[in-house]
Amino acid sequence: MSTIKISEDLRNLLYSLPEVDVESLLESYQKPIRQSIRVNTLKAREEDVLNILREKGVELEKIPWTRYGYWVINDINLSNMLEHMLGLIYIQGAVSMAPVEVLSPKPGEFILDLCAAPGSKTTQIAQALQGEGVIVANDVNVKRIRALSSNVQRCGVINCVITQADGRKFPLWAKGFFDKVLVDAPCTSLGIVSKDWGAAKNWSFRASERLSKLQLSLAISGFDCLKVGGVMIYATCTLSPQENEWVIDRLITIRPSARLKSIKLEGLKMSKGILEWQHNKFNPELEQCVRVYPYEHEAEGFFMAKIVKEGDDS
Amino acid sequence: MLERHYGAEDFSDKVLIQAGEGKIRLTTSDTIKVAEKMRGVQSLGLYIAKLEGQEVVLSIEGSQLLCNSIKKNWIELTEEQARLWMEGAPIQLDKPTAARYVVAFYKRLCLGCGRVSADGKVYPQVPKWRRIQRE
Repeated sequence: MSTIKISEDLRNLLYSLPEVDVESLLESYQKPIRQSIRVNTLKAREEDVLNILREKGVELEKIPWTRYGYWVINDINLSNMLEHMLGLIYIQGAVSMAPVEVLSPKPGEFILDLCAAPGSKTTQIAQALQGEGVIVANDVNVKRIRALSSNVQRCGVINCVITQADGRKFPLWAKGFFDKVLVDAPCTSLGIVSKDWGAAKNWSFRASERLSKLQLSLAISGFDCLKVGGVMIYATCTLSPQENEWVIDRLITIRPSARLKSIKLEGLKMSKGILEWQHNKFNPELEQCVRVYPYEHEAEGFFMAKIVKEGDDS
Repeated sequence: MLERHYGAEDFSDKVLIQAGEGKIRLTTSDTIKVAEKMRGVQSLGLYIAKLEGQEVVLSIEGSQLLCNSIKKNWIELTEEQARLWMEGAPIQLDKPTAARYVVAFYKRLCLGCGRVSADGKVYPQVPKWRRIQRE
């Protein structure tokens, strides 16, 4: 097995994080993420799809925290299977299904996925809506929108509007419009290093700080697009508090009507949000945020915050 | 046209919109209302068919939505033929047909339309990005 190279900045970051098992984390970076799928019930009944897959020798095990998610036990090339191309299954990381489970979309709701490409979570939201309600799936990058469009098509979604816009400008035309918003923000990807070693090799405090400013703008924008009483999930696949707790701490300071809510998902090992890091002391409410480390489930690492809009102060 | 070509019912509770080059998309009235409010709209709804003259060429999703009501101009594929179809390879018809397009079924799954050629083969209209790699 090759040894992963990590930048000096990243080493310093990892050892600055309380409660992180750095050795286990570095070990997990060198192992592939466990394969997992979501059965797409927009196309077929769950039981029918499971039977088709089992007949083809695919061994599956239910993922406890997500309604239609399954670990794939045996080594099999899912992306070249008929069922994948027909949209009966969607290859998606097990922990990356968690933010939409926490968002808990209901049929009839208007939902904004602000940074949507390539569309894993958009199509998961669509599945929960069952064709009733509307998803606006936005991304700023035209190349990534092609992937988003393809996935939305493959999954058979009829109630999605795909837009290409700077997510920071969305309140100009959609302020207070949505029941729920997902901000799956661009990040330094320290939760998926085993997919992209470059993320560890090139990681720097400077890059993380730069991204955190964009993340904060996106979080504020997403929050302003919520109706009063609406719910937003802010998620990243990175571990840096600068891109996670710092962003949420700033958001709830700038928007006093933002209230953090606790997150519960069966079977998912989660740590509480960090309250002190380097020179920062965060709002105690941030304990309600959750962190999932890659070594907990041989899957991606994620940060999630559930925010409710209790009034209009934007 | 769907009735005439495939004996299929229409999408009565949904909205059909024409999106250039004869492409038909299926969506809901709520989706259209929301799209009117948004900026930078790239697409909405689901691409389900293309009109080619008097013919309706169903996309994979269009055929899947109508799967249970398609009564004519369809063919049944074996597992091997279904893989070939999704690779984009032509399939030899068992018996001749007057239809220009047929819908392919594999078990209870719909795999979209194929164009019937004079040589008795069906050429699947599977877009390149959805083709599976030859094993």
